[in-house]
Amino acid sequence: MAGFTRRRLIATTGIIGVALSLGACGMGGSTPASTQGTGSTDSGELSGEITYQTWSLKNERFTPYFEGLVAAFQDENPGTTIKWTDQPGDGYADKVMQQATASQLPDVINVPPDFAFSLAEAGKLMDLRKADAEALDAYTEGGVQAYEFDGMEGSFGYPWYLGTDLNWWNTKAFTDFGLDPEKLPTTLDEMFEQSKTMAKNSNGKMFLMSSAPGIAEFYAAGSPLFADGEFVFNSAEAVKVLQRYVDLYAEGAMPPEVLQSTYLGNSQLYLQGKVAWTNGSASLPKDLAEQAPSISEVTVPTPRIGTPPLFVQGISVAAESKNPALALAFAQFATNNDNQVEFVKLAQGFLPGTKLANENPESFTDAIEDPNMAEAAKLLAAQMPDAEVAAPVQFTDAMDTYTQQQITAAMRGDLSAQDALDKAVKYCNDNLPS
Amino acid sequence: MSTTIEGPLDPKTELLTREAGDVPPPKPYKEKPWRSRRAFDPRRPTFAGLMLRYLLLIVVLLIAVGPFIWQLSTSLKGNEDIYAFPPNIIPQDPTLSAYSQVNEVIPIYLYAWHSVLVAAAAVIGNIVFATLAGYAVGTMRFKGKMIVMGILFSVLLLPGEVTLLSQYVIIRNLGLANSLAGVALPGIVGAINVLLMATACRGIPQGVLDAATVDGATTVQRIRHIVWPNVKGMVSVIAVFSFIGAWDDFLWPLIVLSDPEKYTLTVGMSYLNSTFAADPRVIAAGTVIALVPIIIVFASAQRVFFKGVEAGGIKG
Amino acid sequence: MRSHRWYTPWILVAPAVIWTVVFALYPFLNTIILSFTDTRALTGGKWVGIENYSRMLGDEQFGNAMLTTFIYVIACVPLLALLPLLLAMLVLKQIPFISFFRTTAYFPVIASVVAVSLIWMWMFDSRGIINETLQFLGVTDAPLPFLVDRWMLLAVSIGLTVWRGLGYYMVVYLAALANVSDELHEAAALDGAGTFSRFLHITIPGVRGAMLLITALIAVSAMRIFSELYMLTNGTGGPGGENSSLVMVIKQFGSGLTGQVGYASALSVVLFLITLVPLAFLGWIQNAGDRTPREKKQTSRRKAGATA
Repeated sequence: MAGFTRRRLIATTGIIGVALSLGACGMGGSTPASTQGTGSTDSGELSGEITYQTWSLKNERFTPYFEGLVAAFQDENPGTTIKWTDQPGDGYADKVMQQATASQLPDVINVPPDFAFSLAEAGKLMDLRKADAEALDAYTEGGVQAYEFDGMEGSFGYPWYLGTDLNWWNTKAFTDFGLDPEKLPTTLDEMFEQSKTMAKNSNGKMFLMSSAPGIAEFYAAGSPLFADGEFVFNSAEAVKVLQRYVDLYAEGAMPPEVLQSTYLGNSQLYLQGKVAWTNGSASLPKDLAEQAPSISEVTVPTPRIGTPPLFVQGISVAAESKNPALALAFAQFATNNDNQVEFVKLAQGFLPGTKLANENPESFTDAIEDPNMAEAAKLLAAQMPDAEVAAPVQFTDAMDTYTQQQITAAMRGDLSAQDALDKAVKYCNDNLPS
Repeated sequence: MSTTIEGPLDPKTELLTREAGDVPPPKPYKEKPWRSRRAFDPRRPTFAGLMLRYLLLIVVLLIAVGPFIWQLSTSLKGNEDIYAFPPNIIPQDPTLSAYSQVNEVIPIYLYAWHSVLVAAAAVIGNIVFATLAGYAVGTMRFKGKMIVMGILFSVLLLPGEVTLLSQYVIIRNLGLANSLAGVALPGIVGAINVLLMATACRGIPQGVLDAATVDGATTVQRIRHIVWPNVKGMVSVIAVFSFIGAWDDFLWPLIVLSDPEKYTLTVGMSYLNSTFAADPRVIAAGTVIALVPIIIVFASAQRVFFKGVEAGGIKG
Repeated sequence: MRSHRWYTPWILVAPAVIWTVVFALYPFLNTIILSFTDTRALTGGKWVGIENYSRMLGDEQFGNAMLTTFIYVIACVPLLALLPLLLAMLVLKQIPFISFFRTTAYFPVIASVVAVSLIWMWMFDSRGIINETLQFLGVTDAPLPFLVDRWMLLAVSIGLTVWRGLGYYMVVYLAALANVSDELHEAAALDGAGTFSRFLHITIPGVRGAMLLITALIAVSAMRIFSELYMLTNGTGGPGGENSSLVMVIKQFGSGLTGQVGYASALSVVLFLITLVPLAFLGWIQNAGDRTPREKKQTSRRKAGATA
């Protein structure tokens, strides 16, 4: 049972996805910089003990980093104790819910924006703007905005690490089935065109596109998703995009399993060598090298078509913290420029959430030794300024599941694209908390 | 939680239909396992029949252990395609490195020990309490028995999907949050096990129990000397399924425990699937490790319950 | 003969009853209360009366899930009532190495659902081994959409459930088969009855009680079906939600930080109520099966009392 919760969680909240099964080559023993920290961590005033919780980051690469981070902070602030725990990837929503309902939320906690939204709605997170408005200036605007919510006063998380993803192509499949790997698709039109060619030439053995569209695709095509407290992705643009997928599926240019696949589906198929395209973060080269070396050799990345997705992880502070001063200080310390740079040196292909680091990307990209990874990281960094968080935080897992069910039903021809999106939008709006 | 039915389970009702007296103990075979063409003895198959039997057993074997073999093979693979189709069962370049990696990432012996503690509590608790209650429900007449039965039966049907947090609140109010005792406590008695024991106890001839009473045996003595030897087969079944239930539980220990030092194996194992370092080989190696105790428990318990089956269970 | 003090049975059942009440019944009462509110996971709710229940009537997802669940019950019951019996007969005889085969027959029970589903998806994929074989044999020209078509996916999923259940129900039958006397078989064989005829007229009646019981248990667990369908549809529930089961819908609504706990609770209560049907059946069987022996027992008890 364990497997699904996380898969589902990641697939549907859009955080990290495959993306985050990231990896990089052994940058092992790097320790966080011991720094002077940002403004408010004046040593001397702070004392006591707090807890710090990260999500799914306990492993041989990151454990030393966090241990070093905690030690550095405690050295700077004698008399303080930071208790670091990491929660397993599976069941994080259940765990956070238990912590929140039992008023046991860790003082400093790593949550993605949609978790932060729910927690903030329930009054469980500290308003960081009210606590220290100035400190927020150090972080990237897009990152900060991800933790500020419609109709809610305040800001609820420091952006910590950001990701986006790329297109990855199996060039061997292109050569094998009469397409030119030098002319990989760069527009949606070319993408659909080449999908048809590949399916036809391979006689249904190899496909290019293998995922149903989601609201991210509608957003990329210019459709609004959420406005004035309501979902509105049943727009003409969205219908047009969906219709193209419907037609493509009807022509047999997508594998039938696309009707049952999730966000992670096509990268799985890619690793199995069943499709020639997937999207994925800079981690994909490592996954490929480990899990499918033969495909790894023939894989090349290109930037995403349309608006690239933005994945955000942040650090929030619990409203009910018994030691708010220390919690705030540590949250700022953990997300200060130097510590973020050290972090993304390990989490290669991801970008830090501070302005300063993003102005000097070589401060962390220089650490990448693997040439494939370095190239991917460069593409990702270049694409990052355009990346946007597509799914509104109000878009819950249940809504996502329902919307996906309607979209796939439309692709199979059970109902029209317009009807499918109308139904999905109605469902989403009906299920918004009143 | 062991109190909910999930999946195609709960076959633990084997003795439900058994009544005393009509079970002749099968004769143990001593000769060669097949009969010659002329000898007439329908309890022993012909040679061809025996071979067919083995053939079928091998088919079942392949179907049954396929996924396990695949996981074992994945865990042993070196640098090669894992998801290749058709799958390569024999690793090209077998290595045990995934296993040593498991040990590096998590304190596997500590977590396994915690799981053993929780599972042992579940096994002992279920055997003791289910036997006591099963004896009472199965062989005694008392006022309110129908109420007891009603409570136990209804619990079988309760969907556990939305009660997790309520259970957590109870554990917290008992002061057992973040402790292995809190993890183990709800699984100490499963309603289904009580009902199974009741049906097993119902199979014990009343006359035997009465005779013991006449001889002056107390309730405790009756349970110890008459009930216990007669329900061993069912006890082994209950032991196995309580063990597996406790061993495999993921969400409940995750909710109850807040300190990773105290995690059980299933929860700790999910660290292998952490964000920046998920290697299917290591995950498969973890799964294989976690299966070993279950297989050991199974293999040793099956002797007991098949012996029960063969002996007809009841010694009238 | 009354052989115990009035409170002895209560002392014996006390731990079990207290445990089930505290850890199962009480939380469920809480669920019933929640089902009349609009509670969400992190924020409290207010009383909304039967709104959650009336909402179900117009809920397309609920309707779909009911149908899927119903078909699951109908299909699983005969398959799982029969196949484990055959398996039990296969491993019953004491022949060399049988312990090894018996142990492996349980493997499906303990196998990881994730790994198993992955393998099944490989097999039934449009380019998987089953489709390749069918096409090679010329049975079909185009790959069959095993994992896409509503009914085929359901069939594959039922196959998976049956596979996982074989070892479980086999145990029940093994116990029951021990009750089927060998003498009967011998006598029938002497009369010239064939294997099949003996199976039909001796084995089946011999395990009738177990079979009825298993039927009810399968029905109850088929009502709760979740893992197989969830894995095979990657958690999507299929186009239009057509492959969702009731428990999948409950989890879809109830899980996560934004879960509609109120509505999910109402669905759980309904699931509980419809599971009562096979339970009632189970209780009825038990009573029917018990009556005769119990009367006998009471008679013998009286006799014992008289002689004592």
